[in-house]
Amino acid sequence: MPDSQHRRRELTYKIVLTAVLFALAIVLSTVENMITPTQLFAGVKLGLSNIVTMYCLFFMGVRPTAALVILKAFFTLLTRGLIASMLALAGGTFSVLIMLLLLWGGRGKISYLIISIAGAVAHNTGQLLVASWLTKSAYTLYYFPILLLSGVGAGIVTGITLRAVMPAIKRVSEYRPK
Amino acid sequence: MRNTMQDTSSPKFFKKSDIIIILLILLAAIGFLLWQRAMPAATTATISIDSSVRRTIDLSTAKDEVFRIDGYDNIAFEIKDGAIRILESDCHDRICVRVGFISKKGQSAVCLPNRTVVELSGDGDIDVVIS
Repeated sequence: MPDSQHRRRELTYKIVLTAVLFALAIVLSTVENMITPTQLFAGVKLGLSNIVTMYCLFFMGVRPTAALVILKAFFTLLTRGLIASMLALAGGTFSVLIMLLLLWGGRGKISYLIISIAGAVAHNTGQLLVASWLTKSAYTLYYFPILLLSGVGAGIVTGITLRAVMPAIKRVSEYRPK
Repeated sequence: MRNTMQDTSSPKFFKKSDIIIILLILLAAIGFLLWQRAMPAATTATISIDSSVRRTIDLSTAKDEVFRIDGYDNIAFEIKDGAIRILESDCHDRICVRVGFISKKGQSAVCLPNRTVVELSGDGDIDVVIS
C-alpha cells in the first residue's frame, strides 16, 4: 500500500475513533446528570466523562484530546449555556494540562491512579478559579477542601473504571489500518 | 497506540506509595475543613450581584426575613437565627440553593448564572474583647 494512502487511512481511523469517544463522553455526562442525587453537596460530581478524556490522552495523544475537550465544552454551550460551558472548558483544559505534566514529567514513574486523581482535582480547581474570576470573589475558594475531597474520590472511581473497561475499548484497535 | 497500560515503559496503574500520596491529600483537605469549621460566627453578610455590592446585612442584629433585591426578582434570600441562605433561584443547577444556610466567617453561597454572591465576614481579627 502506498504511504500516502496508509496515512489517509490512519487519519480516518483517528477521526472516527475521536468521534466515537466524543459520543461516549456525551452519553456518560448525560447519564451522570440523571443519577447524581440533587441533595449532594454543591457542585460535587463524579465526572464520568473524564474516563473518556483519560483514555484519549493516554492512548491517542494530545491533539485528539484537545479536540475532545473543546467539543465537550461546545456541547455544554448548546445544552446548558455559556457559563456552564466556560466552566467545562476551564476544568477540562486544566485537567488535561496537569495530567500531561505528570505523564511526561513523571517519566512513567507516576501511576495512572495518581494521574487520574490529579486530573479530577485539577478539573475542580480549574472550575473554581473561573468561578472566582466570574464573581470577582475569592470567597468561592471556600469550596476548595470539599472539591479536593470529591476530586480524590472521583479520580479513584474513574481511574479504576478506566482500568476495568480497558480490554473492551482496546478491541477497537483491531480496526486500525495495518 | 502509543502505549498501553500493559507496557513496561508506561506507568503502572497502581503503586504502593500511592496510598501515602492519597492519605496526604485527604489529610490536607480534612485539616482545611476543620480549620473552616473553627471559624467564628460571621457578623456581616454582603450580597453582590454583577460584581457590585447590593446590600450589607449585620447578621448579629438582623431579624428573620425573606427578601429579594430590587431589580433582581429571580433570586430570593432568607435570614434566620443569624444565618443566611439563598432561598430560591431560577438558575439551572440551583447549586447556590443547595449550599443552604451559612453563618461562619469566610463562608459563601454563589450563584454563577445569576452572578450573585453572598459573602460572610467577621469584624477584623478580634477574638476576645476584655472590658
